[in-house]
Amino acid sequence: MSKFDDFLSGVSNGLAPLVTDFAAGLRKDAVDDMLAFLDAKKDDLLRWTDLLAKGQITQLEFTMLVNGAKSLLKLRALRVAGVQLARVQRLRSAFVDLVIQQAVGTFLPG
Amino acid sequence: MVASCFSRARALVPCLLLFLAACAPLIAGYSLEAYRNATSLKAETLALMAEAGEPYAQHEDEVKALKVKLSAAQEFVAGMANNSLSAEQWTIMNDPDGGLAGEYWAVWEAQQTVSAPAMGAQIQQVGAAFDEIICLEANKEKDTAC
Repeated sequence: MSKFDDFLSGVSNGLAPLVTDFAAGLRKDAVDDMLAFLDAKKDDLLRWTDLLAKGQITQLEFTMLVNGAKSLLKLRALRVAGVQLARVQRLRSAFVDLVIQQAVGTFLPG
Repeated sequence: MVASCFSRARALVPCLLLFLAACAPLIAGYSLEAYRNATSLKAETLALMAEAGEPYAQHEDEVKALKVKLSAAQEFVAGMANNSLSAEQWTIMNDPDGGLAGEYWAVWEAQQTVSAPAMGAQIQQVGAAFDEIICLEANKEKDTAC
């Protein structure tokens, strides 16, 4: 096996755990988190509608609360997107480090 | 021999492209100042929101001063390169029609007071909204559970 093949094999072997960690985090944040949030907000909306019907909050306040719930969902989606971008950036940096480490180890021994 | 070298050189091309692509950041780096702004403004904002059982006129100066600070925090993150997601979060937080802090000040002013149930629910929502801003900033540095 040539040194170049050793290098590629080292990079491939090192890449697998990086990608596995990344994919596991992606699933947790992007799906489970948003579903749990939507479920919690459904209960809030029912409670606020009841408060409005009983005259315990004004229409202006009800509108603010509903707008707030929608905005909170947007902020959450922006956070999830940002966290994934940061994670991709770290994966990319880890990959670059891996390639450099393998290249130095393979082509500049000793 | 020549063909083998050519094949290896071709195999290096994706690696080189990846290295070049790695130079462009996907998202702004962690900012301690942005993190501090968000955590301290969360505490200040929630404390002032809790005063909305009293007439707006009694707290007008405090609200105006806090709005300036919230606006400055928004401008700070908007001024950083590759930071559009955080900037968008702050824009929504301060928007007078956005249902969060910005709309709370407008409702308080319009009604002069805010009812206790609406105040409690909105303090919870605005607190959660600040947590989203703080969580994103923290995750720019390292994976952080929020």
